[in-house]
Amino acid sequence: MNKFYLILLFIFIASLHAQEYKLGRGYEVYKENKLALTLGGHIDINLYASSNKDESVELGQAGVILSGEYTPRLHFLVEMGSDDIYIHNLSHSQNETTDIQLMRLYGEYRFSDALEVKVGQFLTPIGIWNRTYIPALRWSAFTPYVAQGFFPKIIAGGLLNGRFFEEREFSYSVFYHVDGEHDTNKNNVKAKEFIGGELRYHFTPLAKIAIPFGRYRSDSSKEINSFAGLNLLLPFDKNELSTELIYKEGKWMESNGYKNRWKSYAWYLQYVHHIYKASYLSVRYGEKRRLKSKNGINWNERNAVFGYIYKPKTAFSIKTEYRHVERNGLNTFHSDEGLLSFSVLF
Amino acid sequence: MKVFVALLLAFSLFAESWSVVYVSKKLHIKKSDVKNIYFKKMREKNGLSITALNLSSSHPARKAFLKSVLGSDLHNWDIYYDQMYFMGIKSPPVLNSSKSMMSFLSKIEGAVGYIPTELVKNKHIELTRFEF
Repeated sequence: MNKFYLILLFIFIASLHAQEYKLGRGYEVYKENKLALTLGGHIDINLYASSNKDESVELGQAGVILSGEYTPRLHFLVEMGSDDIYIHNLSHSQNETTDIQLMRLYGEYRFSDALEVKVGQFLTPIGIWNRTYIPALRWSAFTPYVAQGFFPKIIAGGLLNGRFFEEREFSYSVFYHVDGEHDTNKNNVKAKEFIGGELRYHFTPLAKIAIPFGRYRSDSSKEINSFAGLNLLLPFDKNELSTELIYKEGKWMESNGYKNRWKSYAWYLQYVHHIYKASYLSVRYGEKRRLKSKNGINWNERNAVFGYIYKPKTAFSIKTEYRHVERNGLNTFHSDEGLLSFSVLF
Repeated sequence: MKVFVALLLAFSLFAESWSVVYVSKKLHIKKSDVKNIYFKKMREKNGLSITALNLSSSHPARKAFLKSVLGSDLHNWDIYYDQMYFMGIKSPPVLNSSKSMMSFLSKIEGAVGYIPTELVKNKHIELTRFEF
């Protein structure tokens, strides 16, 4: 673990002194003929307080990224790191740590703009939140419900990507996740036979509307889950509006076949406004509902997040956020949480 | 062989006119293609790989190019390519001057860049380099 911190620190400091270095783009460590290698990483440090939990200092997500390009058609990426790497409970002076592991490892070959093939372990290319993945690229350090338990955030298998039509305004991704046994504790959902995709229309390079869909078998039971959704990302002038909606149905095997469907859905609406120079304000409302659950109890949870973001560079931000959470129907509770986070991609 | 220099469009920069230029017989690029090329949504056309070239972010022509041709700005450009870097895709190579860009354009078929229009019009520039 200590070696990992030293490597991360070394890369960060070395890259700051590198010539032609730009924060958020890594440091080119090798370039010869057709091969170029870039080394970088990301760090996220949080100070967290809650009305229901102890205060803590957290080294949240951190990772070392090595990416390479061998000709313009072939590129690959390796990321070592983890989520919640180190949590120090300030009330009880206790520490929790998570081992460093292989987060991503893949190679991608581009046959044409309409067909790219990716093989390995990579982020599930669905939605807005799951694709950005690290706090340095997000407007909030609090993860919305849509990205928590509706589909595995990482898949190990194959992916087809592409853009089509003259203006390349449509794009697609379809993937297959090989087996749940490849999952470790880094994944939010243990799944096997996971097949899915997303269809997108791009208004501009940054603005899009997309429809994700998928189906997977739960690794721990004989449960089959199907989901579909809608997401919209719309930057305009000094504002950004984004929303994601996802709906999931499940059924499980009984002696006389698949039965007892349950349904759940989640959504959020987020608005970010650029107020002055490097200062931004954000507000997000989100909700999650489960209907016809296994134990017969329906429940819902909702939250609101308000944040001030200081972002002097696009790859570096300091966020101060407040979140209010309410849960009704099962294990009813409400909480107020505060977070100060520092995150950088380098 | 005949020199094939395509001037796609020109944009003014402090009274100096710049042009988007590529050097190839195979490419036929429209203005909307330039945007897709620079955001790496279009990385080939007519079977030819395309390489977009940029001047440094402090160069005034870069900002004018982003605004006039790509309909974007440095902030949105950086947000886009931070995300792309995280997925292992690099931003277009940056060159220090329009002369460097001219040099690169002359060597790489399928390279797209922007240079002062005068450099293209001026017969004293080494257009012979582009003959192939």
